[in-house]
Amino acid sequence: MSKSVLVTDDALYCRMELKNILTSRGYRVVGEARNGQEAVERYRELRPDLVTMDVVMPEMDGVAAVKKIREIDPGATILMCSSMGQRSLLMEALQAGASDFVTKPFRDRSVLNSVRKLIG
Amino acid sequence: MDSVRLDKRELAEAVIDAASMVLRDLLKLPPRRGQMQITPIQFTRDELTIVTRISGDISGEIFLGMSKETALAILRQMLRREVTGFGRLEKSALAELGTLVTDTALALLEERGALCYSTWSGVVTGREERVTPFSEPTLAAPLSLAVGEVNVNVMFEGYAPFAWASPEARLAARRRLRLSPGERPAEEAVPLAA
Repeated sequence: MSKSVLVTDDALYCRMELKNILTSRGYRVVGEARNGQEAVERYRELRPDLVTMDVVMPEMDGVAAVKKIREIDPGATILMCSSMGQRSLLMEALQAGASDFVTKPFRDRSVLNSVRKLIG
Repeated sequence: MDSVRLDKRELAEAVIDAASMVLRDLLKLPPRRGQMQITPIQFTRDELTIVTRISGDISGEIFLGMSKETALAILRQMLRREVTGFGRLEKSALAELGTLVTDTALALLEERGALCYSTWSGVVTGREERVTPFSEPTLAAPLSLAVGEVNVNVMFEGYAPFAWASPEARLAARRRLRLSPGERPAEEAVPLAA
C-alpha cells in the first residue's frame, strides 16, 4: 500500500502543485485542508502517514495546527511548506514538532527528497 | 528598535528586487528593470492586477499589473500546461505569485529589522477598477520580460504603532493581527481526493 498524505494550504494552486508532485511518485493524497482547523479534523479521520502544512492560513495557522495534531498523535509526521518571508514562524513550527520544511515555490526534487526521507 | 525606520524608497526597492528574483526564477530569464517613478494607483491601469496587502511593522499594498497575455504566459510556466483563461485555479496561481513576491520582499526587509507579513492576495481584472481606498501615490517600476511587461507598484501606508516595541512584543502583535478573522478570504470547498 502506498503512503498516504494530507495536503494543507489555503491556496488552491499550492494544493494542486503538491498533489501533482506527490501523485507522480505514487503517494496517495487522501485529503486536502484549506486551513489548520480543517487539517486537525481531517487528521483525526484519515490518520495519514504525512501531513504537509502551510504556515500562514486563515482560521488556524500552521503553527497552531502542528501543536494540535501532535497532541492528538505525538508520532505525527508533518512537513512544513513556507516561503522565504516566514522564517520566524517556520522556526516556531519546527519547535512545536514539525519534522522538516520545504520552501515555496515548490521544486519537485526538494519536495520528493523531504517526503522520501520522512515516510519512505 | 530604530532599524525599522525604512523609507518608502527602500520598501519599494525591496519589492521590485523581489519581483525580479521571483520572475527570473519562474521564466528563467532576468527581467529588465525600468526607471522608478511616482504614480497614483487608486484605479487599475492594466488589464490584470495582482494585489497583496502587507501588515506588521510597515503596512501597505503591492500591485503587480500586466496585460492578460503576459499573465497567461506566466501561468503557462506556473501550471506547466496550456492556459487560455482565468478560472479559479489560474486566479489562485496568480494570487500565489503575489504572495511569493511579497514574502520574498519581506524576507529582505526582515534582514533590516522590519517584521511584516502578507495578509491577503487577490486578482483584479479590468482597467479603471478601484483597488484601494487610499489615494496615496505609489512608487512604481516596470519590469520588462520576454513575455511582456509587469508593472510593480508599492503603496506605503505607514508604520504600525508597535513598530518600535521589543522584538517579542512585535511578534506577539504580529501573531494577533495575522489571526484576526476575515483578513484572508477562504476559497471555496474542495472535495476530498478519492
